[in-house]
Amino acid sequence: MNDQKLIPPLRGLTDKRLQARKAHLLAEIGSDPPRRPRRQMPHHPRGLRVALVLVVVCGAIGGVLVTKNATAPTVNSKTTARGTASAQLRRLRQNGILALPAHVARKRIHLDDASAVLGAPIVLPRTSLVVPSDSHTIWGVGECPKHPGRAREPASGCRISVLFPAHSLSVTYRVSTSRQPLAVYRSYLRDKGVNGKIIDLDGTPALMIKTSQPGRPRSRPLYWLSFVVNRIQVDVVGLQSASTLKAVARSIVGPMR
Amino acid sequence: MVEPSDRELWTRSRAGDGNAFGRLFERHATTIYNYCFRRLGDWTAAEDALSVVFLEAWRRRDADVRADKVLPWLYGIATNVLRNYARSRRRFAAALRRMPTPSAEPDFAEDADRRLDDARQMKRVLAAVRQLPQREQDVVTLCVWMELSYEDTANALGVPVGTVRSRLSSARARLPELFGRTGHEQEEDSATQEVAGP
Repeated sequence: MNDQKLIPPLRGLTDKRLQARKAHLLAEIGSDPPRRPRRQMPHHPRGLRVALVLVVVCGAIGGVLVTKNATAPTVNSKTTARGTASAQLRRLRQNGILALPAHVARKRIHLDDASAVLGAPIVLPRTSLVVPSDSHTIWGVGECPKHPGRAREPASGCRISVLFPAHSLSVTYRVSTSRQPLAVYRSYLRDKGVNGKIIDLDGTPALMIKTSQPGRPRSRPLYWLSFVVNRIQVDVVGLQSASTLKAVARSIVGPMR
Repeated sequence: MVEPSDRELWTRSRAGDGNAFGRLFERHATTIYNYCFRRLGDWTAAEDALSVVFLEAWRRRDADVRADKVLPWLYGIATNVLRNYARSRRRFAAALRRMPTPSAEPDFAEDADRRLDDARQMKRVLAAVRQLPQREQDVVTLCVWMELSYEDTANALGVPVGTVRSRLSSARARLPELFGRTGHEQEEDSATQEVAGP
């Protein structure tokens, strides 16, 4: 490029001006109150970020079923449930995956404590794709008991999310309030107009929904598979194919029965 | 006495040591001042921009900065400040108002003339360069005019080195035509009329 010669040469401030600017700068920063050091956010690898998205999606969509089921009898309460779900989804789109910590209480827990926190046994998937030892992070999300050993009842406001970032997969467990999940699935499909269907997992009905990743409509589709076994609602969400997700779900359904 | 390195000064600055930050200012003020001038085409505005850049740098001192890349980081801050110069000025308007009015300095007529010429010349060049997309303007200014390495430019702009190369290549391809179109060889008046404000 021949424009280098067109540029005026470097020139400095006069020493007096430089010192005046420096004195001004020091006076300004001297009046700045000292700050607390900023908390360093842990670095999440890409896989973990995807898994976090899955947890949020799972929380947002899966929460619909819980809320809807709990409030289904009246028209007004149904509207409220829809409003809550859409607000959650809207927040998701607006704020992205990091919205989760701001709105939902969560605590990292150890795998050994997960069943105790939920108050019901948790079975992790075991397939050719994923085994329990692949689990990376386990979150207790929502109103989870502080002293799980003392709880007499399963924690209904708590969900356990297990992330498998290397496989872009998450599995979430929560206590189901639904006595007739099949009816809820049908109603959900009818009311929401989502791209989904009811499938059979060796005798257990499950709702499978194909959706797009939040904020990334053109990227790989996201599958969400929800079923209830022994009063535990399990949501499997992943960027895997539908058949892979079914295999993952089957590996959980069998031992949980 | 051995001058402390940027790394050391930056570490102390992050811990809240204003004097260390002042040393950093002294060390890099001329570079950033000239960078501001080459983006704005106005020495007086560049001097204010210099203060804004360092005030902004102090405000962001918690950011993760590689201690050996303080200057590229300052370039990055300056780039952002200059991109939204009106907004940045507003943020520090009160601080700038507290800047004491310059006392009467000896007027070196020759130097004043030279600076006036610089500003006219710079505005003519900027009239051409401002027709490039902003991202290419950033790369041309940093890589070519300020002679930063590709790596440091990438560091300043927060983009991969490959992106710097491709933006520079694209800018190089277009600039000769743009300089021709803005009538770089034309009379000064017609050239300065084309200058858009920062």
